[in-house]
Amino acid sequence: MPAREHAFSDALPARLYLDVDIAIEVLVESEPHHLRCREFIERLTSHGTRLFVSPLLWLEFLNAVSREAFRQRLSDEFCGRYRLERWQRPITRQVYLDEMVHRLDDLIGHFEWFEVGLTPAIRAEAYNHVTNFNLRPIDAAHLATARSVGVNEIASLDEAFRRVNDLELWNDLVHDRLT
Amino acid sequence: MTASNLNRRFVVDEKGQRVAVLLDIAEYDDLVDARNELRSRRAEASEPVVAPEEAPPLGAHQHVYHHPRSPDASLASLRRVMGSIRLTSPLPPMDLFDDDDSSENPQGTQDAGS
Repeated sequence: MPAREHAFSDALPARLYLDVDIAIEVLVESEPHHLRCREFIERLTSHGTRLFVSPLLWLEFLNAVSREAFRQRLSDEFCGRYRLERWQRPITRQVYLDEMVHRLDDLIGHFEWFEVGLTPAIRAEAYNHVTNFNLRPIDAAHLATARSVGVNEIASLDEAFRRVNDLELWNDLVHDRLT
Repeated sequence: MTASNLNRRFVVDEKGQRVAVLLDIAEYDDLVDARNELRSRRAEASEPVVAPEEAPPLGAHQHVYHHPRSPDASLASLRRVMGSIRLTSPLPPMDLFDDDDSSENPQGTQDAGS
């Protein structure tokens, strides 16, 4: 049985695992699902939902905001303030990434949250998820991390999670809306 | 070429742009102390805790770090951070997590910051 998908207006879970794509949709105003995701986050904080995350959240976020395609879309004013034309300099990257990560930390800090470290057992389970559900390894690691602490509710817009048996997937049914 | 400013002196280039700073040693020591204190506080805030009551059994080697909600958190502060990053155009789908930036630094070398 594939994942059970939830609208963001559904009754909220007490515990939820957060994927990085939701965090980026919330933080980046111009992203296509920004509004629905920010309303969802507001509801979650009001509800007192506890968030579970992996260290991978930060690493994937760093990857996303470091990308040239991302930086090229920042305003001239922002690029000038952080001197992003000097990207090859460590100090430029440090100042810019500190600022970006601060915003992610700020967002997460509005919840009571738990960071679940990667372990050999999670790695082994992720391997199984790659083979069973044809997930990307990084997504498989998220799934294994969530389930390692008994959390079966994942917030992610990644379509691949729809293939995961018995998963409670919070995606506001965006894939059905698009088809 | 330098310009003074209390205990700080800035090294400037030929165009007058600041390129480095010289600090009074006492001020430098204060900064190092402040940084160490901040690191110490951050480490304390990330102390591993036992699982929350309703959490499942966590293996003995499971590393779960508990972070309480920020005392400064409010709906207003949440709304300030949400949407705080503005791009001039939407990102292409699937662009965020692909590794296709290798052309930017083909040698994978790290600039020394000179």
